[in-house]
Amino acid sequence: MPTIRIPISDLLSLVGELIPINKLEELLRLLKCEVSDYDGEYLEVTFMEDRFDLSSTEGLARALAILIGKRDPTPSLELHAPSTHVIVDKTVSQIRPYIGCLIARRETPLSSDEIESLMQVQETLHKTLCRHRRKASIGVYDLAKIQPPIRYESRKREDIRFTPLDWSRQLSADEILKYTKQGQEYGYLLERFDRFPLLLDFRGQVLSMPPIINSEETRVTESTHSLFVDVTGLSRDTIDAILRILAASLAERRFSLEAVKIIYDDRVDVTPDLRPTLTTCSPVDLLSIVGTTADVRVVTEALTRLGHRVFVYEDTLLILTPFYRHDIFDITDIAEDLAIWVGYDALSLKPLSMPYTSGSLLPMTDLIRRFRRAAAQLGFREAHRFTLTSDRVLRQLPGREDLQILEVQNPVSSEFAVARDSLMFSLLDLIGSSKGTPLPIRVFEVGPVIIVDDSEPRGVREEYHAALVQVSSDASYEQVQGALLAILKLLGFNQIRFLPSEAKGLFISGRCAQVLVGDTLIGLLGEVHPQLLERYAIDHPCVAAELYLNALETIRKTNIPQG
Amino acid sequence: MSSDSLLAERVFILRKLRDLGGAAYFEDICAASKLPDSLVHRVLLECAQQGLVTVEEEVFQLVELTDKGKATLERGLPEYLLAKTVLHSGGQLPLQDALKAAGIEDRKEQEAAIGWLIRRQLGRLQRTDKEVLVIVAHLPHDELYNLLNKVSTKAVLFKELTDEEKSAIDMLRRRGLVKISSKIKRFYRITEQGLKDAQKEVPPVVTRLTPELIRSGAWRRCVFARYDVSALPPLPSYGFLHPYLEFLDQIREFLVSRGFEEIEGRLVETEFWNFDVLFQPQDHPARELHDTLKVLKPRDKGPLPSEHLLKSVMKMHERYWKYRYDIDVARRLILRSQTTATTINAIVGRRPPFKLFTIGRVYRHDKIDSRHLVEFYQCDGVMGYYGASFKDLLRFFRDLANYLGLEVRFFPGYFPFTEPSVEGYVKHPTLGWVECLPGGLFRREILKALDVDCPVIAWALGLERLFMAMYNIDDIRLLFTDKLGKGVDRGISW
Repeated sequence: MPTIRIPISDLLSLVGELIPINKLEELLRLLKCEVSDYDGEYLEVTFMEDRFDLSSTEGLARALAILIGKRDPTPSLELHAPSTHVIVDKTVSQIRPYIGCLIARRETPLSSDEIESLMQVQETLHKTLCRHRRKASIGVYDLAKIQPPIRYESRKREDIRFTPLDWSRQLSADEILKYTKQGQEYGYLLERFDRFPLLLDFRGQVLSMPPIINSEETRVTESTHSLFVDVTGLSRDTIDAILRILAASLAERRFSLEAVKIIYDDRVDVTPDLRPTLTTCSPVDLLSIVGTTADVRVVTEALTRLGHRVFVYEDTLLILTPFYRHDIFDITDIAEDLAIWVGYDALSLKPLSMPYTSGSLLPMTDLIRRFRRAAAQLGFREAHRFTLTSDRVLRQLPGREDLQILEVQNPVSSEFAVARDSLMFSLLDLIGSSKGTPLPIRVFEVGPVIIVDDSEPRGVREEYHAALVQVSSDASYEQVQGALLAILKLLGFNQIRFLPSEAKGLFISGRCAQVLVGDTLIGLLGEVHPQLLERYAIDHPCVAAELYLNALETIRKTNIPQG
Repeated sequence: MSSDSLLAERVFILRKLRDLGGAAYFEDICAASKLPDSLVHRVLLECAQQGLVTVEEEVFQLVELTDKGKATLERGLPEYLLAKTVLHSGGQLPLQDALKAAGIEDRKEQEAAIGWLIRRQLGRLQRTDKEVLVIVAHLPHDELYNLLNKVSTKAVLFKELTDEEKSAIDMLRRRGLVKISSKIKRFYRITEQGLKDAQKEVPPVVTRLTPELIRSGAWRRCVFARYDVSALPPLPSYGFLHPYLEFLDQIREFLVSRGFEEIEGRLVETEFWNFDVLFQPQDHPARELHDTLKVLKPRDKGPLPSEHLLKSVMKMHERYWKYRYDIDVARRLILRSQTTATTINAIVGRRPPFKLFTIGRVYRHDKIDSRHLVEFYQCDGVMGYYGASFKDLLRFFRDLANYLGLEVRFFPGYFPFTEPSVEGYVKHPTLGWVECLPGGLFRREILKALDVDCPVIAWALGLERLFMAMYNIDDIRLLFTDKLGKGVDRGISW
């Protein structure tokens, strides 16, 4: 969840009321925010991904002031008609096609707190909503230092030279990508193009090279009093949302806002769009989502305090949601604000109104449960292993080197690169890496395996297996065979047969069997071959069995369990 | 216990001692009498106090392996390893290469290997311009190792060793591989009075009640030897179930008792079911490589849902998130990152009322530490009926927390596919409030796309965190078996 760190004095002076910290914490919770740190001077606030309107000191201050009733919600703002425009050259359409702008004017220059806050909201939005500047990026300039109208165009990278922010000399585009911090971090977004986007004013002065860096000449300083803001990117929707959040923040700092005309090849836009969203519903619609009852006045009060402007007309609520809230799609989103106001803890004490339904477990869950109990009764301890494992664990057996298994494209490490297709190898690996465990070791596991199967739509079959392993100086085929027989009998199976099978390097030849119930193959069993034991670093005799629970489940339906 | 009560045992043991020639070591008396050591010891102590036997104590030196010695026994003596490596590579090797090839990495051990190689004359060092060479001409059997092995397999008395062995043992002792400890051995001799007491008429002492004794009725003339019943026995090997998997069954029981039907899920899922249908835009950070595990082989693309469903989901994305929906992304196969992929699939076109749940493994691209795993469990549930509301979800969470004996509190949450949303926290005794109960009402847009016409409550349980809060466990890694005897499955001691 995103976090911002803001001076508490700045926040409270914007709210216009001294709120003690514990009260502040309580109020912020109603805004889905949490105070994650406070040192007396700075407040660290975590907010939810659907409330980017709270990603700045100004946004929090506005919401708090409305919440405590200090002022009324302002669903829209005054916006002056455009006095200038941006001409968009069609060459940007392949690189970074959209732009939105606004102008903010004021008499007094920006304070250091205001500049800090402006930088922070840009930074926060860049990291989150802008998807690390890929989807959109923000530029803010001193209006006095540029001469509109502005051109948004692209140029060949070798034709670009200007002085980037924090530098004292001109750099080429390639040098900017190579030497500036922003270039190193975001250069990859432009790397594959031979033309880079550029914002220029009437005189040809570079404003910025989005989404990398602004020019030093247009920098915002403590003598700046009016601003030009641009947002460029791949998504008009995101650009609009960001402009609205920035416009609302600037309005809190008493800037007057002015729209900018954006002239594309084939159409003309005017940005920003500061109109509210209108939702009409009845109070009952909202209350039934929350699951409570309340008077219409209470509903109105709740929504007003949470920033909506509400008009009641007979049985209908007309709800104007401010332009800066980009999380409101329909009445469920408004219902959440109501639920927060009523209080989640209070709601959680109301009785359930669920109707009766009959519960049930999957047959496989029941089989697994019975199998686990039977294995424990026979003296085996249960292991619980990951399904993801390494090549090393699965491909030890001669002949399994080219085995088809599920491979992960982006594993966290080689230890979690493939999915197990059997449990036995995972248990042998466990025993090999548990040196010093007193003998005898009798261990089992029941769990999912993923088997490559070309006939399946996902290329794999997911099944449940069970494995039993015994390691001791006297471990013999008969011991595990006996345990297995007992387990199967406890589960109610009859006609259990053991047929001699090929050892295939896994078992000692002549000491291994296929396990059948009736005519169905349900598993393998045998004394593990010493060559394999050496590879897993096990130095005592070992008997292992692997059972296919899906096969057992198919047979089970007609048997009565004994356990 | 009065001495009379041990009368039978006393006579029995005195007779055994007499039969052993009137004098014997403690161990031999125990073996002959087949009684527990502790009992024999007590009886002989009484006999000595009453002048029935005399005791002589004999101190002797026993050679034993140290921990270092045990480790060396597994690997071999370093100088011999070094010599063997050199010999196998043709009789000479540069020193550093030889040490590396022999796998001797520890600096101290390297010094020991070189020092003893020379002292034991297994080989020699030769300095050239560039390097130091180790030269080994031939290699005798490692007598020193054989001696170490002998000490490990049986009790070796120092005085019984040959002079040559004694000096070798001394060398091993100085290297810290063996230790010589003094043990006391007791030798008992029966006295005149003891011999008289051995004649006393007493009923036979029986250690083990046999079927013959019962069938013949001879048990009537027997006295049963007493056990030291308060001594602790060795633990027998036993089977047990993994506590975390037992906890998962407990959760299942809770849900079934409240009318939930368990449904089956898939670990390998398409992004369509894991993300798209859940209103997560295709460029959402959670879908990137550093968050979700993508499948490479056997194939990286899976099946598409029905044409109708795909179209509605596509329309939903393009309308709300305003971007071009990519069908290729929808087909990508991943290891599911949330079990909601399973529950959402199960409600397509389902008629209310329904209550469904699934428990299974999910996967994330996370760095493993005490709070994060690459693979863990989730339980996801849905409750669909006319009149389903947000308060039912909150009440359900509260009931579950009560059932598990945990304190709970709620905060608003945010998930792309639910609204209103909640994040429930439970109290962990040492870690404090941990978030583990996310939920909400499925967004109407989603339900519409899935042809479900009642409100649906969706929730998930962070199962590991619930378990950790219940049993005050602070490291999530303990819930999986990495080594036997290490995790929460330690068995009785746990």
